[in-house]
Amino acid sequence: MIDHNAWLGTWPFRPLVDRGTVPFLLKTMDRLQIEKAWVSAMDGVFHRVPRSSNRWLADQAAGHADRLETVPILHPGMAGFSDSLRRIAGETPRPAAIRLVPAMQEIPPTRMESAGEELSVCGLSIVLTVRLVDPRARHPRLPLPELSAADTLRWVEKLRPTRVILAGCTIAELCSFQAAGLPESVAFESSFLDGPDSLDVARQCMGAGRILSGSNAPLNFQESMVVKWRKGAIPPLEV
Amino acid sequence: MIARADAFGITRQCLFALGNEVDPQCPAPDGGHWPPTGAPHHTDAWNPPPGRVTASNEFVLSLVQQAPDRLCALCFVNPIHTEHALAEIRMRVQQGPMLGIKLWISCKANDPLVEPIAELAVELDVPILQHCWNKFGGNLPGESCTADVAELAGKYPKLKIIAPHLSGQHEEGVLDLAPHPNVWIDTSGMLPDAGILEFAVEAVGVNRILFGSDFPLRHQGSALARIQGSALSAGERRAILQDNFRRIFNQ
Repeated sequence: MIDHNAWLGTWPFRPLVDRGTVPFLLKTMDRLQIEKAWVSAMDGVFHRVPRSSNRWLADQAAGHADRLETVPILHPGMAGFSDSLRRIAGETPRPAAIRLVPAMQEIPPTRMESAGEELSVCGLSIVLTVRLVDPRARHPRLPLPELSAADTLRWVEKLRPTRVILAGCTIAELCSFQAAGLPESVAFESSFLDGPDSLDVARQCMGAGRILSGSNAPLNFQESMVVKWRKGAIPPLEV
Repeated sequence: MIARADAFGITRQCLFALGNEVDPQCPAPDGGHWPPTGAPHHTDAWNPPPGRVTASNEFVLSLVQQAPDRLCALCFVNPIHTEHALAEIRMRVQQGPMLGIKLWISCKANDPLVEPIAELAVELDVPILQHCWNKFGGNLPGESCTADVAELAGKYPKLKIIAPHLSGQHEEGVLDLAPHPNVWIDTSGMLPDAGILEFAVEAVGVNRILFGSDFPLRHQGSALARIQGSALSAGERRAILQDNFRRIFNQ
């Protein structure tokens, strides 16, 4: 099993203790038999230029390339975006994907147009983060936590024909996107599909090949991902 | 329901209805999609009339009767219909087999309408599971927040209250409830988020936390993952998963 939506680092709005560290993540993956995790740097969500957090991420993951695939964050609304994209796309080995968090990044529509064109030809998969937290439980100082369905569809359209993974969609959104006729290049990460039958419904709705396992750890639990996908009990964390 | 629970090692489930389950004329407030959003106060769905409350409780009991060793139940009542609520409690809790009382969102926990129900619960020594949330953007008009529950708990120190939806309470909600030893917190609701359970254990003590799933709105295994993945000892997990339930419900 691969966790297509994990993070390293700390989150300013909730104490996560050591859950965002490489040792904790690897230990959890071992316990739950998760082969690989796609990881982004959590503080990159807030940075206008996420370059330093991407560097930190690479340092953290160094030596664990067999278990951790780095997914750098890019901010398409900022100067330097094109250079960063070119540099990342030219890296060897190339990252599994790059991540955008447009709701947090407040990207003007004109920038979306031009950035979308560049991203659509960069040859990298794109994790488009729809949400990180349940809006009902968000911190009052956490702005714009979600990408609207309309903006999600605009991004997907701009990014055609690139492989796009929508991270953090609910089952209601997924069903509405199906009705909107999203291209086959769009896949869905499963962390926010949390109803008893949501995963099955999502597979029926979109086809099993377009639903990817993901946890949103450490904000949420990798354990939650595993029980939903394996449909069985899991060993507890030993303290 | 039992087969699903078996898959995750859940041996006993405590059920309740919300007054809308058995009447096909009354779907969920937003047309069947949960969680409901944006409905006004005292819509028919959130303020069910006595007939539907009775039908809901009978429906739940019909489920319990199919597997009494695996299922138990709480008596759902609507405090706005006081006499009916008290009669339901006397018939289904005092005489059995229901173990306690469920209150939802027709009125808040600190509404005077809740007082006769609280007094009867104290008399019968049964807990009230009182829905509560601290929602960013505000609660629904009849929906209790943790401060409302804390007010009820302070007014009736002998009343046992279960305040559900730990993740929806946040840290500040846990701290609202912490000074009241007659309030237990349950872990149901929302996508399991990391960190809050350890915080709650530290704030109120492990003996005041109960496992809950919010099934069928939520995945039971995923809800259980919140407990299994938290940094708790085996003894703390056991307390949350079963011992505290037995203690509060005198089981």
